[in-house]
Amino acid sequence: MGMITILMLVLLAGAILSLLTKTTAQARGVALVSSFGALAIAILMYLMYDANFSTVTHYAFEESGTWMPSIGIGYHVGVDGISLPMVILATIVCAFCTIFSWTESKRPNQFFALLLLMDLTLIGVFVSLDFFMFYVFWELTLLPMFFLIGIWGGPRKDYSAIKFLIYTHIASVLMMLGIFALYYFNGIATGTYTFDIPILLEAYRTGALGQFGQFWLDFIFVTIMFGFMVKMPSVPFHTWLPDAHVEAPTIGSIILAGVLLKMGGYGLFRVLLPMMGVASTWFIYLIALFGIMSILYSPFAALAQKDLKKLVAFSSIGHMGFISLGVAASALAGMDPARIVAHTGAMFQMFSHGIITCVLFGCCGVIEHHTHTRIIDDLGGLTKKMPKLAILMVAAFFASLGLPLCSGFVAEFGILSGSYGTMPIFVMLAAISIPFTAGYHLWAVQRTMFGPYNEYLGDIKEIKWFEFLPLAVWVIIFVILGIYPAPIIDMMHTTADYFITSGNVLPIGGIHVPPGGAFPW
Amino acid sequence: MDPNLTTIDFRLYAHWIVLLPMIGFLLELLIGKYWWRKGGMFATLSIFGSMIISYGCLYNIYVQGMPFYEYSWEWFYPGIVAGFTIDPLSLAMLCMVSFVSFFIHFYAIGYMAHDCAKSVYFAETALFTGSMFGLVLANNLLQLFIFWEMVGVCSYLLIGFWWHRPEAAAAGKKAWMSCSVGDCLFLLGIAIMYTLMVGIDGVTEPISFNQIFQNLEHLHHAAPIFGMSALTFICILFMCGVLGKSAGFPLHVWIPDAMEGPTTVSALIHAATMVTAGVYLIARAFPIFLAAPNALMIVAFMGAFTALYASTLGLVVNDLKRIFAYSTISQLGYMIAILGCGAVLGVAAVAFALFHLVAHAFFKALLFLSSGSVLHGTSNTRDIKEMGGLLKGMPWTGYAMLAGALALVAFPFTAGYFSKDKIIEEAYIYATAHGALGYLPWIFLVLGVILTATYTFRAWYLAMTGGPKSHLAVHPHECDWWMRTTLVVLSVFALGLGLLTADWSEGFFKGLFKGGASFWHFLEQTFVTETQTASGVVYPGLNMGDIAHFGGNHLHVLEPGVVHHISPAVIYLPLLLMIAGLAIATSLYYKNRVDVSKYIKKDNPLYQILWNKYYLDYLFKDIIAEKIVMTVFTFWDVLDRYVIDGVVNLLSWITISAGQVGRKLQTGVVQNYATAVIFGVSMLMILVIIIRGG
Amino acid sequence: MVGYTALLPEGLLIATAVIVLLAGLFIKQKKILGYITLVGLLASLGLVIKGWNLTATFEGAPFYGAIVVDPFSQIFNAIFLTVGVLVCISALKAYGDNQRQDDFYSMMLLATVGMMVVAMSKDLLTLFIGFELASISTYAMAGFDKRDPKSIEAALKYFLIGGLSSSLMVFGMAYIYGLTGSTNIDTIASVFGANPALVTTPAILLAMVMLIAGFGFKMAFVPFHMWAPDTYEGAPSIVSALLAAGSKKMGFAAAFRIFIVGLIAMKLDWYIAFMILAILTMTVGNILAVVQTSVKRMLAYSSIAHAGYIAVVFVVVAYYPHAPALAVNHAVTGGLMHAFSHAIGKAAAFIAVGAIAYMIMSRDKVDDPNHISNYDGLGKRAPMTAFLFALLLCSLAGIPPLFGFTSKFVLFLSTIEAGLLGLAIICVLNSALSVYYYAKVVMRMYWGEPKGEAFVEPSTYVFVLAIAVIALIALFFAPGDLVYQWAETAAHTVTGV
Repeated sequence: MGMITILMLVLLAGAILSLLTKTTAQARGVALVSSFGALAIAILMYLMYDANFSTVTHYAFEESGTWMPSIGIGYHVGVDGISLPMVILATIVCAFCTIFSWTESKRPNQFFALLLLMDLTLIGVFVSLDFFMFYVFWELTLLPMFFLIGIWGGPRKDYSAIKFLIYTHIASVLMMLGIFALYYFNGIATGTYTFDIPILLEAYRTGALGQFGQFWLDFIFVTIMFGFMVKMPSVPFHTWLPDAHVEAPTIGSIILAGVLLKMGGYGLFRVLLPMMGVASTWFIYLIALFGIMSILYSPFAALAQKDLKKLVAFSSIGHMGFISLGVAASALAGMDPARIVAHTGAMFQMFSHGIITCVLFGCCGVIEHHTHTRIIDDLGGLTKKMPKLAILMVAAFFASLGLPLCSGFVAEFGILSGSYGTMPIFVMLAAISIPFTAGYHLWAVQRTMFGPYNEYLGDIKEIKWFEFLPLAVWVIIFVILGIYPAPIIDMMHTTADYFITSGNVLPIGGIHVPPGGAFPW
Repeated sequence: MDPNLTTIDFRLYAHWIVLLPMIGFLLELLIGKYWWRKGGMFATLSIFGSMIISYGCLYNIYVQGMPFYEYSWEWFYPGIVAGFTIDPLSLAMLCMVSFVSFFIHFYAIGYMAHDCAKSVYFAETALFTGSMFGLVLANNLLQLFIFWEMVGVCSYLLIGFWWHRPEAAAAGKKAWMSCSVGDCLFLLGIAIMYTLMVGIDGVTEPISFNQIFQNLEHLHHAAPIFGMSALTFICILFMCGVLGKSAGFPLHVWIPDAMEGPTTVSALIHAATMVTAGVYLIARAFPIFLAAPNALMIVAFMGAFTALYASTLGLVVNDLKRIFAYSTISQLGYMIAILGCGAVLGVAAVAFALFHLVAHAFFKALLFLSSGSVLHGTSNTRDIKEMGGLLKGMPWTGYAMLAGALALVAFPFTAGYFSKDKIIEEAYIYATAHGALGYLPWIFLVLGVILTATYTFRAWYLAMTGGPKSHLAVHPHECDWWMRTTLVVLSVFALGLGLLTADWSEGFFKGLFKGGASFWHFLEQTFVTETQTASGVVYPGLNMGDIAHFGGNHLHVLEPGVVHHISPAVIYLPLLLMIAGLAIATSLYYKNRVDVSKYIKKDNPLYQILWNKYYLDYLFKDIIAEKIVMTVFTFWDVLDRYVIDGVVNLLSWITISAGQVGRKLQTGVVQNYATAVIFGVSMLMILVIIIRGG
Repeated sequence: MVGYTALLPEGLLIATAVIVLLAGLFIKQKKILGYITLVGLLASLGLVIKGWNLTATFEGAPFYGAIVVDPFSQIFNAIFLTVGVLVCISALKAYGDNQRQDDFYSMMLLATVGMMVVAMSKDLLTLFIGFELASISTYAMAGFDKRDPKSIEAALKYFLIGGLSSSLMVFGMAYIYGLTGSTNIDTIASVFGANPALVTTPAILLAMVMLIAGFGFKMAFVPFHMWAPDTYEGAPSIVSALLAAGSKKMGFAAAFRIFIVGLIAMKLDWYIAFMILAILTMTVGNILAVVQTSVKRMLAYSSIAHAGYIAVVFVVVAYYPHAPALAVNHAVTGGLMHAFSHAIGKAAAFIAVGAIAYMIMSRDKVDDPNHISNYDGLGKRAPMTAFLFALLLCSLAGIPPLFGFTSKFVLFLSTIEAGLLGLAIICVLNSALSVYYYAKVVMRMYWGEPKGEAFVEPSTYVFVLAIAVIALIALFFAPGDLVYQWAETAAHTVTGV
């Protein structure tokens, strides 16, 4: 039994055990042991990554077993330079979320069980190398989040929870159709009916499915892309996100924005990237267009928000847009070094945004918990009462608006400078969006932290230690990664190099778009 | 001197120049609050350390004649490095920044003595100084940009240091926004530069300055962007960044508001160091600008226009600090303008600009610190109409400010005289080389002189001479010795910095008057001398002439020793104008003898325009920021809520109402069910018949 | 004669039924009969599973090839028996102290036998007999709660529409007999295969439509579904379980036997008709389920929707040979698997509703215990029941890790394989929509405010639900493959392609 299976079993056991506990202390204890155990295993995997890396399959810690051989469903897991950081991200976020919710008193056993379950399902998505498993975990992530929003959520939780469930579920069932088609055509073409991701993608990439016509190839691509774009989420499929965030409890928001959205981005790299060369090339521009739409859309929408949390929610929509842009741009034919930088940047953006947004939502949660409001106009001058929070929040907001020496800048610089070669116009638009992004971040900080203290808030207390510790840790992580990103980015760079230049994922030299093959412009 | 000190190669420790203040920052932030005067010492000492290393490097290069040096480490991505470069350009900045910053910290120990958040203040200033060093030492565009942003953050935080005052917070935001407009374009420029460079073979560090300089010819042939040469496009983008950071027109609007911060901050950041980063960027990237067609022309005109524009605004402001703020904008304009003249002068322009930059740093810091002492002594009065006669109460401050003012208006033999008048003189050469239009910058600069003299001494007379105009000014108290020391030191430099231009070999006075110009000669070696790197690669010196040819510029070369012939009238014109301005100021404001408001009414249109800063703030804030942008946001919210999300909700509404309708059919009457069955059967038959018929 | 052992399960059940009936006359302690029934059911279920791939034909007397035992019949028998077991166990609780429980058990056994006969019949006559045997006993069971007018009404409606549809069915069979001169399905198929001219006559068209209507009544296809909500809602919950899970699947058993063979033989382009039926059924079922306020009625509509999903099988089969053989087999396999998962899930769900209604009636005074507002805070008041019920709903909604997901997965897979893209999209959108009303119940149970103090949960019901849930979860993992193979073999036996 390999590391990954152990990792998942640890979390599963933790979830079941903590469900059986009675008090907060017991549930928390179990959750702490299990989630930090998972974190430890993830770090161990990070350390042993190179040793276990297979140069044949380009996966590490690979495990495969039979499940339902009759229709070619198997148990196949493994990690590489893009999924391992995601696993680490998920474990880091969830582990410190257990600390953050130290005093959770409402149904603690269910709460911590769902937290661990969330962690488990997310990791499952990132490690699955079998489409059936992938889809199962993809669906399973809905349930814990649904309950987190519903049971611990705000006033309009019913609407938000059901909207989140149905909206993303519709996206995933359509994705399922694409998977079916991929499975079936591969079966006809090669004779072996299997859901194994590498095999299917290989078949698609090498054009083995070409005999079934461009329509079906595009059908497969579009349905799967739709699933990912809704999950990221990309404008105009984003409206479930702000509602979900506004009603979700702090932990829910942290995991939702920090890790769950990354499933969509991860899918871009794992599933869509190898297909790009074969599907119609204008889809690449479509993905980039989705990205740039999100980037340009989010600041305008964010500035209109009264609710601090909703503002932050829109910020993450914008940041996820950079990922789509980077991936799409790196797929096109151009100078390989630049494409690799764009690709690495997009990968790193997933990790860095995952950490940064945790602090943002954590701060919103702390403010809400201490002042019982999130309406920006009702806040002000909080620095007077909570200087520690002020430091964390200012750091997080600056990191989020892309301040150098924070991880976000590393990613966005990589994406912008790497993508310019292939998509100059989009990059210029993205660069122009930066002042607006800065605008709403500063506006929010100024209205909440600075200015005269709003005396109506009464006498509020300084941030508590169990709130401070996770936020501080996350801040330290993104600052360190901003100054010295090598620990994460090297791994990603190796994988990006393989994706771009090996010719096993994208055609060597990138995808040449024939004139007229792209959008009208 | 200690013999083994001479053997130390300080160039290898340049990164400590950046790291020491960073350590100081951490110490101040973590333990400064609880230890040793509750803050201030760590920052000051760490900066003193950096100062020692900086001057050590200067000693290595200037005295010991060691070669220029550069070393770098792999950073984010392949070829994106963190690097440090030691050459006259960076050294001039380093020595100025470390010196001024050290003394301003020294001053601040007294100035901020009673502030409760002292340690935070010093933490931020230490971070700022460290970042400034990082910016100056950067050997590549990205590192420069990173620290460019970092100093911006520190400026934001320090302007809003008294965060509980809404206008302070707002001013900080305004500063950041104005800069960020330029910065995003600067970043875009870097991205484009990266893309162009990465395609060239043999390039290992795509955005390091030296490698860019070596490949200017390739870049010159790069595909045009939007119909203009790629290099020009990049330079324009850089220029936008410069306008933001160095307060060029029209992005200068944030500087006056930035005076909300502590005066030491205004002195350190908004006079001496940070705002000069833009000038430094052009100087550092000078070969790129030189190789880009028309780029330097834009620089020259923007700079000269800013210089004149800002000095007109200085005439009507009554806020002591804002007057100096406008003069800062104006002086930065002079520096940018002379850099623009580099199209004709070559590297010499960099030397002239840098010398004015250094001189300006000293006398402007002095002016701000003395006005800070005035604020300190008169319980934060800033309106010169409420001062008057302070000279009696605070002589040290008063005379220090006088020294600064004289330097600013380029009174003979002060620092400004050597730096600014040289600039105007060289601008004339540019003019002669460039034909009719080329005279415009020179005219702007010359006109700026008279205005500068007028508004500077207007401020000084109104504040220092005559009788107190408000109860606040009656009993001013002089500042403590920390601050006094600083004022004295800076005054000495403000008055005497001109000596740097002397050439000692020819004896003191001879050197001084014949302009042996050792400082300039030192700086003129910057790009044309080879640079060694730790990796062993040697970047040969550039041939500025060839580079200029890419940009269609023709350098105005002189045989050594030959002094170009400019009629004395031109040379002494600025002096005369300065005296004229001085005379105007004296006649009107000395001892407040004439009440100007009698002659110039408030509704005088010209006065109105100046008073409202050419309505530029109004345009930016009220029209663009509030009217246009806010309308867009509201519209956007409606779009998001009711259109995009509306579609989603509409679908669910349709489903549910369809269900409600469907429910009606389920009557519960069994006859209807039977009817439905029969109906179904017949429908099915008809259907199949149709299918088979068709 | 060895083959006759294959009929042991049915024989066992008949014997049990007789024993129960007779013993009922003498025994006072009637609860024992329930256990006897349970033993009978379990034993015969064991036999069926043991001989899952058994194949036996009975050409000679007394059957003359009218019935056959093959994996197809076996898997349906397994479904019926599983449902029977679940219903029987819960009946121990529901009618534990009822004086007429012997009738209930015997009728339930006979109904089960009838269903099994339908599944096994190769002949229209036996099929009809089995059909009626099951129907008549279930008519009576639907009205088992004599004192409850709703139960009576339910029974009556069921009976009337049932009678109508039976007549239609006989009508159709008569036509087919008249056209082919045989009631044996294989013979009929071969006759049609022999002279294609026959299949274009209006008479055969009429016959087909009649049969569709007849079976459609049991399968609750729209528009033959209207009795179903009223009956399922009115009848006692465990009877509803039997109806929705058992007798509905009997309709599918019959339809599979006849249509699949018939359609493949006739090569008619019936697929559009069936597609319209299927889409209509699933969409109407789902959309009406969304707006229901009674959970029981919601389940009724959801089972109509599921009938729509399974009806996809006919579409794909009718699409043959445009649809490749693989698609046809996957369709039938998926259909069988879905019948299996849906039978367990829906039966257990109805039983759960019954249990919840029982608990609610025991405490709070409400006129309609099935109204959704009574489910508020059930997660606190009856944790076990609520948790299991939620999982059952997940299975019905097709959310992993439950068998309902696997079966739906395979079923929808076939639509794509057949190239019926529009159908596939409508199917998945429907199933996404169905999540909505299942989720609504879960939301009520888990974050509604409890209306009263906690219940004592009837252990029997909890036990039944637990069995069902464990079965569904277990089947999702590795053993699911065995069911798949079983269904696949069965599919081969009926499609023969």
